[in-house]
Amino acid sequence: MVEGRMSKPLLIVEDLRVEINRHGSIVTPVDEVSFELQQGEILGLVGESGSGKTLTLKALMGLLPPGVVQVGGSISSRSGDVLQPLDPEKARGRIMAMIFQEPATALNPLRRVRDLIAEPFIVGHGVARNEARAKAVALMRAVGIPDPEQRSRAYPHQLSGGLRQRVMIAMALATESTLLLCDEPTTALDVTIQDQILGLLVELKRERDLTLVLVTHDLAVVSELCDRVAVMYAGRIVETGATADVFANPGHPYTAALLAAVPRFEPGGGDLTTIGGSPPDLRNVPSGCRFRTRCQYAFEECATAGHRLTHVADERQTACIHPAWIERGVAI
Amino acid sequence: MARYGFIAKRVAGIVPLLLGVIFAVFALQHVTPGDPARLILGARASEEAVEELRSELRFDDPVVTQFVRYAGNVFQGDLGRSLRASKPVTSIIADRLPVTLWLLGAGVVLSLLISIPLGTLAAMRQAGWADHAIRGVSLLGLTLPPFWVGIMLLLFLALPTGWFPITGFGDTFSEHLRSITLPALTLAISLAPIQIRSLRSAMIEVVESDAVTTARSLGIKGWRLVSRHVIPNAVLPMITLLAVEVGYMLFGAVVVEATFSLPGLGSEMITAVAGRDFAVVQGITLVFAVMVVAIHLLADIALAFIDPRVEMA
Repeated sequence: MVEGRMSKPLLIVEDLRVEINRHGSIVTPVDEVSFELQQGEILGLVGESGSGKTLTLKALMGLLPPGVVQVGGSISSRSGDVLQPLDPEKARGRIMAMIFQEPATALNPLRRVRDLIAEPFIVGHGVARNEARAKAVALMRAVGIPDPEQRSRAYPHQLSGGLRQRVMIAMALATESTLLLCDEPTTALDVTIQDQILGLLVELKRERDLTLVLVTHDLAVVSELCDRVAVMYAGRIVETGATADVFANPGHPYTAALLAAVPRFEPGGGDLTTIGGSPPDLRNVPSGCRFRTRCQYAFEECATAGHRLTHVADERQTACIHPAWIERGVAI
Repeated sequence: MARYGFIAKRVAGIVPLLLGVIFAVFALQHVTPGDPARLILGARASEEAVEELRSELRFDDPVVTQFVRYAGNVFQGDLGRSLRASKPVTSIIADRLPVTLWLLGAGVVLSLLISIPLGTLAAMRQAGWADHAIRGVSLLGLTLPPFWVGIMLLLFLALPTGWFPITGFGDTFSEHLRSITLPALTLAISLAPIQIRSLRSAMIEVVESDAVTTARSLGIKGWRLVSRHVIPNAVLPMITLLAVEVGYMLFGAVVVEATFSLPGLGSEMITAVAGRDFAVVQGITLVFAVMVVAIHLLADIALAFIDPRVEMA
C-alpha cells in the first residue's frame, strides 16, 4: 500500500532555488529544495523562522514577493497518469490554493464575506453570482461557521480571528483545488482556536480527498497530523521521512536538536533545552553542511560535504553524512 | 438607518465650525489695522464721509453686538452690500459662483483623468523608465506656477489654434465648456502631480498587500483583480487627498481665473481686495470656507460608505 502511494506523486519539486537580490548582494533563502508530495497525504514542512518554509510555498504558488525570484528548479504536477511542468499562474486557484498565516490582513476588508467566498466559484468555474453566493453560504457551514446566512453578510473585520481563518479556508475550498498549501495557518490564532482549525483541516482533507502541505514550527502539530515531514534548515531540506520514523529516530543532528528543544511538561519544571548558536546569516552561510557550526557531532569533512539527500531507509532521506553518530550521541 | 444617523451627526458637527468661520470672517475687518471706515473709503476721503460710513455700518457699536448682528445676517442669507457695485453681496456671489464651480469641477475631473492612468502606470512599472518619466514630469508640473502655465497655454494653444476663447465664460453650455477647458487644464496640471504620487504609492502598497496576494492565490487576475481588489483599496487615500487639496485648489482658482479673465469668485476677490470692498471680500471668504468644510464633510461621508471599517457611530 505504501508502495502504491509512492508511485503516484501529485507534485514533484526538484532543486528549487529562490534568490533575493538586494543592492547587488545575493542571498538564497531557498536552495536545492527537492521533495515529492503524495496524493492524499499531509506533508509537514518544519524549521525555524527564516529557514525558507514560507518562500518554498510561495514559489510553488508563483506568489513570491517583489524582489524575490525563483532562479532554478522544476515543479511538475501529475494530471491523470502524466507528469507535466506546473505553471503556477494557471495552477493557482485551479489545482492548488493557499491558506495564509494572517487572516487579519489576508482578506479584502472592503468586501462582504459571501462575495469573497463566492468569487473563486465565479472566476474559476463560471458560476452565476447568486448561485455562487448560495454555494458560499454552504461552504461557510461546511467549515463550521455558525449562523452562516447571517455571517455571510458580514465584513471580515466584524469576525474573530478564528472565523476569519475559516473564511480563508472556505475561499480556498471554493477554488475546488485538491492541493492546499497551508502557511502556518494557526500561528496568529489563540491556542484553543488553533486545535479547532487544525482539526477542521484534517476533517476537510478526509472528506474532500485533499492533499495538504502544512508549514509550521510546532513539532507537536506535525507529529499529530502529518504523514510525512520535511525538515528545513537555512534554506535546505535536511531530512525527510515518515513523521513517526523521523521523530523516533532522527537522521540529522538538526532534527535531533529541534526535537530535544521541544518543551515538555514535567513536574517541578525541567530546564528548557535550546539549540546553541543561531541560524546562519543567509548572506554568509557556512561551507558544506550549513548546520555544522552548531552541530555537536561536526567533523572536518562536514565543511566540504556537498548537500545531498541520501536514503537511509526506504522512505527516509537525510543530508547528514554521518547520521549514525546521532544515535550514538543520544545514547551517550 | 445607521448611515443617515451618521450623516446627520456629521452635519450637526460642522455647525460650531461654521460659527468659527463666520467669526473669523467678521474679525477680518476688525483685525485690519486702522479705522475700517477709513480703510474702505481710502486716504483721500473727507472726514465727514468717513464719519457717515462709520455710523451707517455701525462700527461704533460694541464688537460683540456687531458680531451678533453680522452672524444673524449671514444666517438669514444677508452678506451685506458691495460699496463699489452697490448691490447685495449675495447677488454678486450668485453671478460668480457657477464659474468657479465649473472651474473646480472640470479641474478635478481633468486632474483625475491625468493622475489615475499615470499613477497606475507608474505603480505597475515600478522603477521602470515609465515610472521615472512620470516622476520627472510630475515634479515639473509641481514646480511650474499655474499663472505661467496658463499664459503658456494661451500663447501656444489658444492663440495659434483659435479653438479656445482667450477670456470670458460665454453664454451657452458648449461655450462654457470651451472657455473652461484651458483654465481647468491649468488647475489640473497643478493638482495632478500630488495625486499621481499618492496614487502610485497607494497602488504599490495595495498590490503587494496580503489581501491582493490572497486574491491572486485563488486564481483571480487581470482586470477583475485590479477592479475588485486593487482600485477600491487604493482610492481610499485619494478621497482624503482630494479633500485636503481643496484649499489649495481655491487658491489655484483665484490665480487661474485672473490669468484667463474668468468672471468667477477668484477674480472678483482680487477686484474686491484691490477696491477695499470689505463686504465682498468677507462674503467670498465665507463661501470659500464653506466649500472647504463641505468638501471635507462629503469626503468623510464617502469614506464611510466605501469602507465598512469606518464606524458609523
